[in-house]
Amino acid sequence: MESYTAENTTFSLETAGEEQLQSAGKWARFVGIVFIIFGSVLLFATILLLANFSSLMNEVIQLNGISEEMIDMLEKGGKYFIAFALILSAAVLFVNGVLLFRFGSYSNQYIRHKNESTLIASFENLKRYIYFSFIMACISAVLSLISTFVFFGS
Amino acid sequence: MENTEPVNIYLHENMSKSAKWAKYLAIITFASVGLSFLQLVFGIIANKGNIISTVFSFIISTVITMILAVNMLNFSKHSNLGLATKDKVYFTQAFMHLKNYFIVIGVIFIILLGLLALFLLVFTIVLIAKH
Repeated sequence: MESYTAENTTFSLETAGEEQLQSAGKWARFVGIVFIIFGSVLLFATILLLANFSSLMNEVIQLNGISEEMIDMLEKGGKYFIAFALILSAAVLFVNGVLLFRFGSYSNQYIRHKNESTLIASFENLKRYIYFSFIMACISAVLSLISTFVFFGS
Repeated sequence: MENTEPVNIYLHENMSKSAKWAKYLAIITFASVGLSFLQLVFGIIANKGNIISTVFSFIISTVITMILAVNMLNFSKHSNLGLATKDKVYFTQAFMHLKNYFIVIGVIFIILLGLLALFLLVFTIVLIAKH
């Protein structure tokens, strides 16, 4: 466990550092907004998919000729699994987007008003974003490893 | 002109933890790239799919992923050095790498949005031409 004392917890930013932080904040806010928009679009697409699943499947059958078994599986419960995966993806995008937007907003507030509490809030959100990204990267790596074994193992 | 801002324990702790998780994120990203390379090699050996397009997409995704991971690692390294030495230059470099990380993601999104807009434009033109 790390311990922090008054002597070893003071640091300062020079003008160049503040400019870099401001620029990072602006880009983070932009990426955050895009994440939130993509998440909203995905959520909207999921609602549309669930509402028009039967008619959509008819269109897909005509286009690709999916087997009867596959359609039966999708209509029995597969569509809910797909909807769950899409909603989960939308939630991940939303959380990432909000954390990045907050990081950007608080860092810009700090640059403007030099209020220390906004800098703390800014880094709190950055820490959460990086931690969340790490968890997502771990899940992705594990799934990728499993798929490698399943796909090439056979 | 120097702008000295004393930063308290909470900020130190947040920066320190951000740097720690950024390092772990970079490491897991490097591991994922290695795993993707294995998948590519197995795919070529098994002769599954179009090799040229697979290799091309692998190179593009690997370059982008590596740039992101290296920036995250450098952000972590310079943040830790800044916290340890109290040298402002390290914080400036750390924020520069953080900025580069977000710029890369932002530019990818701009390209994707541009392609999406182009696709919609072409799709609309084709629809209008058909009617």
